[in-house]
Order: sequence, then C-alpha cells, then structure tokens
Amino acid sequence: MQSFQVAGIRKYVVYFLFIFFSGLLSTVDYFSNKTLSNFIPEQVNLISYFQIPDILLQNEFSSLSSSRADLVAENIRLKEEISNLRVLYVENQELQDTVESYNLLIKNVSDFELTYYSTSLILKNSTDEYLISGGRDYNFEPGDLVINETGYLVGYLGEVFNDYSILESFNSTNFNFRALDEYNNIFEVNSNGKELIFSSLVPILNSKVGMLYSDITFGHINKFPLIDLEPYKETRLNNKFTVIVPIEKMLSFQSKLFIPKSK
Amino acid sequence: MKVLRVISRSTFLFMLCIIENYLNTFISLDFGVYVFLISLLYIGTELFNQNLVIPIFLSGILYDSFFSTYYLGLYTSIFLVVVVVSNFAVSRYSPSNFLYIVTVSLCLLIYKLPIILEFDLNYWLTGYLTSVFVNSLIFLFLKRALRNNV
Repeated sequence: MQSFQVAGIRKYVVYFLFIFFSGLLSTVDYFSNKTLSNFIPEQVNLISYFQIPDILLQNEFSSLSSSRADLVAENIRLKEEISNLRVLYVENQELQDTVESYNLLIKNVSDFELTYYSTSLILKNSTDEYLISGGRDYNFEPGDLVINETGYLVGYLGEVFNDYSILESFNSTNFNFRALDEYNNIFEVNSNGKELIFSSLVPILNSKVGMLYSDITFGHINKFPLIDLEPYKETRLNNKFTVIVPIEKMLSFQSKLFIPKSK
Repeated sequence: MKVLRVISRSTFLFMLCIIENYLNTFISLDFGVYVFLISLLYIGTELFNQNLVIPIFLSGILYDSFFSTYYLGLYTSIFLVVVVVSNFAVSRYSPSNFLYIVTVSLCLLIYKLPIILEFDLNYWLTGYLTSVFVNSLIFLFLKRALRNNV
C-alpha cells in the first residue's frame, strides 16, 4: 500500500522539479527587473508577420458592440483631421465652461505638432490587458498615452516590446493615472476592473467636478480629455472628492487607437 | 525525433494558448472559453505523461515572454500545477462527472489566480461560475466525444 503511494507521488517528481524551476525563473526575473522575460521578445518580432484576417474583422458578431464607433471612425481618418477635431473639442469644452485659465494652455496645445501613430488591438491576455501593434519600432515608450478616434484617452502603454506593446486600459487593475480638472485640481485614477475610481489628491473648493485631462506636468505628451465627471455622483470627505464611474465601453478590434508622439 | 516531437507538441500547445486568447478577445460576455485550460485538463486526466512536462513548460515560457506582464515562469508554473492537480484528483478519487466539474472549478481558480488576486470578489465571481459551467460542459463533451471515437 505504502509502495503504491510512493509510486503515485513519484510520477509527479519531474513536474515538481519544473514547477520549482519556473519559480526560480520568476525569482531571478523579479530581482533582475524583468530582464529574463524581456529577453525573448527583444530578439523575436512576433507580431510584424501576423495579420488578422479581414473576415474576422468584418465579422458581425465582433462588430455588434462597436458599430457606432465604426460610423464615427469612418468620418475621421486622417491624422491631421483627428488633431484638429481634438483641439476644437477641447476649445469648445473650455468655452462652455468659461474657464479663462485654460485658454493659454489650449493655445499651447494647438501649437503642439504631434505625430499620431495609428495602432490596433491584437488580443487580450489572460489578465485583461490589451496587446496593441507597434512598439520600439515606432519609438514607443512605457507611459505613452493612447487615445481613440474622438481624442479621448483610453489608457497608456504599460510595457513596450519590439513590435507590440501592452496597453494598460481602464479594464486593467494596473491602471494608475493622474489627471487635472478645469481648476487644476489633481486627481488620481485607479481601476478595479469594472469601475474607475477618481480621487482628488488635494481639497477641492469648487462644488462640481467637470472634465479631466492629461497634463504635461505628469509627464504626458499633451493635454487630452479623459472623462467628464459631471454626470456622475461624487462623494466628498474633507473637501476631497471621490467619483466612481462604471466602465461601459470595451475595446474591440474595430477600435481605432492612436499614440501621439512628438516629431 | 525526440526533439521534433517536443517542438511540435510545444508549438501545438502554444497555438492553443494563442487561440484561447483570441477567442476571449472576441467574446465580450461575462465568461471565458479556456481552450488551453481544457487541453491541460485533458492532459492531466487522460494523457498524463512525464514526456509532456517539457512542452507544457516551453509553452508556458513562451506565453510568459510574449503575452504576459507578469514575471517569467509564473504562468509556466500555473500550467504545470493545473496538470498535476487534475491528475491527482482523478487518480485519488473515482472518476465521475461531479469530480470533473470540481476539478475544472479548482483548476480554473488556479489558472485565473493572478487576476483573481487583483480583482475584488464581485468582479470575478459571476464570471468564474459561468466559466466553470461553460468549460465543464466543453470538457465533458470533449471527453465523451474522444472516448466514442476511440
């Protein structure tokens, strides 16, 4: 009976050895700041040679949720048009809110000459992070902003490989972002996967919170709108705001994404 | 010949892994169809063999390198643990549909451990239970279909 049990355990010995070896690799990778896990992707271009078949892209099933985005995206194709629309949109928001302090910054934004690299979704990994095309071959860097066709932020690059990058989108629990509102109040944005949690880092004196933007003070390349918090209910504690926004829109293969880079 | 066999098995498993990710990118519902997990369970329950440890290990290393932001070796060890756990369950207890569903549940929990630890209970519980149901059905159907063919 005992020998049977020993024989039963013995068949797992090789598996346990490899599990131990995998654990060892993880430990080495942890202490070497991911040098090991980046070694293979740095040597091999995996995505450049791979194209998603058009049949899959035109699949009705996959385009059910994004047909509206498609209609919008069809009208905005050229990078220059997107840039102009974004600036106009930001300017309109500012006029409506009659915040004079933003006018100077908008002029600065409109003076920016950015290149908008078009990118697309490749797949979603097991931890709900999106792989998007373009990496070091386009000089992308971790932290680069990713915007959609309407100029709104959808996330930032978490990791960059040779020809693809990992996008930290709103659905990723690693999503951590800082943004400014119209009154230059700083907000920290986190995600729990289903909701975005906006917390003000300093006491806020104004009664409502409006549109949030990225800002160069946080190392962002330019000012892009993130979300309008006005329709959402906020909780206030010691003049600090917390707003919870459910994540409704998911990225799909039809999502048009752009990465702005300085020329 | 041995090397070729290992390479082809590793490639096949890695392809299954990619297919699983693509499938779940398309499915925007609250559950996942884990083709690769099902194949690992099938290996664990039906084809358990020490020669399969290297292909599973290699496919895990490839997945960790290309598609994961976690440390190299994390998903590799998860894949191996799934195979060991599923084999241990079916060798220890008499196989039944109930045992297979419990095994799928347990292995899915291990498989999604990195995401489960990060997300709160509300986020993953519904999706997890639906996924257990869907993947158990697929697994049982696959087992039955392959048994009939043999």
